Parts: sequence; structure tokens; C-alpha cells
Amino acid sequence: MITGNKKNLQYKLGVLLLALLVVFLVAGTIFNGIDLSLDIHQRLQAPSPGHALGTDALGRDIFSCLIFGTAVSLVIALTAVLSSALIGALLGFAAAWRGGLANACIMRCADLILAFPGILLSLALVAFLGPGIFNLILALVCSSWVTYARLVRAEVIKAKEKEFILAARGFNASALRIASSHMAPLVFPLLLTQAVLGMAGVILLESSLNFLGLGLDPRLPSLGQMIDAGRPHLFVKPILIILPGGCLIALIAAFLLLADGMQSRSVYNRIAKKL
Amino acid sequence: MKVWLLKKMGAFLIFIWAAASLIFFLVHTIPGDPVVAMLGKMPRLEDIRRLQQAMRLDRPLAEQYIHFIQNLLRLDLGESIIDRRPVISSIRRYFPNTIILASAAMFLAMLIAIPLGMLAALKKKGFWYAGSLVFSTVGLAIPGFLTGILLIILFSIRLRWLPVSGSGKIQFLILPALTLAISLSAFLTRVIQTAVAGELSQPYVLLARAKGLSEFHIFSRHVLRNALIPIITIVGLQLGALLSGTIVIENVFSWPGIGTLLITAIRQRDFPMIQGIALSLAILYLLLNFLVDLSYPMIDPRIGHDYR
Repeated sequence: MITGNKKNLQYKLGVLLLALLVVFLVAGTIFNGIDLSLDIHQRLQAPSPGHALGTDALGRDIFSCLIFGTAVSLVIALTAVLSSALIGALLGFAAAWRGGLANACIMRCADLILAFPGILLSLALVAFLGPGIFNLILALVCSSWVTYARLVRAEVIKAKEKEFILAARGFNASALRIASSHMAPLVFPLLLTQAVLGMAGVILLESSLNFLGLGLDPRLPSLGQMIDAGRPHLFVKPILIILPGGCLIALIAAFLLLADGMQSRSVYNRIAKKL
Repeated sequence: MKVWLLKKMGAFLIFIWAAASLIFFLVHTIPGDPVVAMLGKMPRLEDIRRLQQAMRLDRPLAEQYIHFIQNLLRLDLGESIIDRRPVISSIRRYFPNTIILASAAMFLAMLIAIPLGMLAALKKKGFWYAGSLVFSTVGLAIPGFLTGILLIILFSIRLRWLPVSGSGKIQFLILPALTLAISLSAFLTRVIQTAVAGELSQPYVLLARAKGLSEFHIFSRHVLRNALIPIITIVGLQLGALLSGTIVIENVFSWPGIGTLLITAIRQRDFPMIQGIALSLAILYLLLNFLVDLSYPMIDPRIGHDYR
């Protein structure tokens, strides 16, 4: 399913964009180094040999901030997506395999989380828990495990009555064994595609939270925070917004294109089919 | 049909109760004392006690919960700890602005997405197909708040056509509504295109052609009507994205809606206000979904038939 579609344009573009971003991060760290120190006497400087892209309103090296912000977005999104995919897959499997009360509890929890539109639940969680990287990831996981749980549950219910699963049960295989060696290979391609799409969604959510000042410690540069901090200087130095904005768009577009290319039938197709 | 309606109605009410309970327990079981969090660093002991009494935080959790639900039934969401005014009156004042912005954005998004998606589905592999693919990919990749700022740079700073922020006149509505509409229509365009293309390949279209019906008749009477169900469902699902986009975009344009109110409340650590706004947004979203559900049997008589 994944290997068959490596040749399409979206997949190639996505891989290219992601590779460029990684090269940018690695090369930038090696050749420029990351220096996030504040220097209030060097505010809003033009590009110079010491600061390849100039400095921001706090006198920080913009290039260093860009690398740091992009890397942070990537790491947070990876952690959040991996944990929510894992939690979602386990809960989805449990719901489908056990059925009955377990199914009802897990799926009603999922419905309850879906009752909050998009960013609201993460926003409320960060508001109550306070900013910080751990709370941010927790808030992102809380609202995104649902998709994976529903996906895995639907697949497991479909496969539950197939012969090979019945045979495995006939050999008295444990639920753990069936999950790990029979269901996992079956569900993995779908889960992976959903996770790549989820990366784009989580990066979007994370940058929106940081833009509103409700994500990481506001003193640390992140792409959303840089865009917010650049707003008062929109007239004099639009580059303060355009550079982090460009990185953010490239990051999201890379995962969107990748997910698009990975699906033999696109998400939109699947959504339309399901209804 | 009546049983179906009652079932949907019951589910709607249960979800409101569950969402309210979730918010309540979120506020009351978080680590740390909300009162200390609200009063900031080094609060005085008598201040803590006074606020705890005012918010009934010194009572047992079960009693607080019953009190909360009772007040909720009377539409009493408590009072703001910043200006001591009832939360519900602030929400009432700001809510209409959010509704105006969200409806304008939805209208604009449909205006873009419906024609574009249909053209792309009808002329596969043509100009409109490629155009809609590029538009939807780009539109989805740009975060809403960034679109907003880019539109401000273009229309307010470079071209000087529209004001940066504010409210009251129609000029202030255009940019935030357009911002929301761009990301919304990027997604809708693709869904509409896929739904229409899927229906066009169904056997009944072939039969209609064989009967000699005109292409216009086939499209408007048969294809469109069948494609409408997935489209409406997606529009319903996208209402969540619309509301969550509104929260962010209102803050970009200082639009005096519920989103600006929410972020201000979070910055001021005004817990009763945050609780009230989160709850009212969840109820609005549930209500919209309920209305979307109700519209199905009107479009497709097959739905809801089982319960008649």
C-alpha cells in the first residue's frame, strides 16, 4: 500500500521538503551554532557576519531561533504523535477486542473529547496546567489519541472474524500475541499514514498554542511565538514574521504532501466513502 | 421518526452534561490550588481563604459538583473574579460577534469551495482540477493565524484597502472572515470534488444518460442530491475546525468575540470565566452537530426510516 505509491508527485515533493528541512537544521547547527542569548543593545539588527539573518526585538540571533524553533516543533510533534498513536492503538484494540463495557467506556470517552471543537480542549488544559513542554505535549495527546483509537477499532472489528484470527484463537493465542503479531501488521500501514497526517495537525495546533502564548515557556523561541513576537514590528521588519512563517508552512506542507502521497486512496476519498 | 428524534435529543442532553462535568473536574482536580494560581505569587492567607469561600472551594467536591450543576440549570455560570460581573452576561455580550464572524466565514468558504470542487470533479485532469489541488494543498499548509497576518500585510499595509483590526463596520469583518474561509474552503473543495466525482461514476448516472436525460438534469437532480449527504456531514464536522479557528483568528484581528474573551481570561487566570466560555463553546458545537443530524432525513428520506 505504501510501496506501490512511491512514484507519485506529492510523495516526492514531501520527501524532498522534509529532507531540505533536516539538512537546514543539521547544517545550520554545525555552521552557525545555536546561540539564544539576549543582547538588548543589539535589537532588530540587519544581517551581519555575526548574525546571518540579523537579530529580533530581544537582540537574539534570528537564524539560531529559526533552527531551535523548527527543531522544537518537530520534536514535540513527533513525541505527541507517537504517544497518541500508541495510546490510541492500544485503546482501540482493547475496545474492539473486549467489546461490551470496555468498548462503551473507551468510545464514550472518545465522543466526549470530540465534543470540544478542535483547539479548545488543548487550550483549556494548558490554561489550567500552565505552560511548559510536558503540559503542552499532554494537552496535544489528550485531544489527538481519539482518531487513532477509532481507526484501529474499526480495523480490528473488521478483522476479528477473519479465518486467520479465528485460527490463532483456536491455538489459544493470548490477546497480546494476537495484537502484536496478527493485528499490528494489518493495521500498521493505515496507522502510519494517519500518523503522518497527524504530524501536520499537531504542528498546526502546537504553533497556534505558542502563537497565543500558551505553549512552551514564552521566553523560549518557537515558530508560533516568533510570529507573535514579530507582529509589533510588521511595518519595519516583516522578515521577523516571514522567516518563521516560511519554516512553519514548509514543515506542515511536507507532512501533508507525504500523507497525501502515501495513500493509495486519499483521505478525502476515504472520508467520502465512509459516509 | 419520532423515536429517532428523541434518541438524538437524549444523546445531545447527555453530552452537554458530560462536557460540563469534564470541565468541572478538570478545574477541580488539577494539581495545585486554583486559588493560589489565581492570586499569583505570595498571596496573603486571608485572601486565599476569602476567595476559597467565595468560590465554595472549602466544601466537599460532591457538594461543589451538585451546586455547579444546579447553577448550570439556572444558566448561572458564576462570576468573573476580575470584574465581579456574572460570566453569563459577558458571554452574552461577546457571543453574537463570534456567530457573525463564523457565519460570514462559512458563507465565504462555501462560495469558494462549491463551484471550485464541482468544476474540478467535472473536468478531471484539466485546469480546474490542478488549480483546486494546488489551492487545497497550499490552503491547508498555512496556519490560520499566519494567513491572517499575511492578509494584513497585503491588504492593510501594502494596498491600504482595509483596516487592520477593530469591529462595528463591515470593513472590519472582511479580513478575519476571509482568513477563516481560506483554510476552511481548502478542505471543503477536496471533499466536494471527491464526493461529486464518486457519484458521477455510479451506475445510475449511466442509466440516466442512456435514458437520454440532459447532462444538466443528471447533474442537478441526481448527482448533486446524492453528493449532498457527505458534503453536509463534512461541513458539520468542519464546524469544529471553524469554531477553533475563530478562537485563534479573533485574537489576530482583536475581534471582540468569545475567542478574544477566552484568551484574555486565560491570561488573567479568571477560572470561572474560562470554565464558562469553554462550556458555552462546547454546547454551541454540540447544538450545531445536533442540527446537522436533524437535517439528514430532510435531504435523504432513507435516513431515520428504520425508526419510523
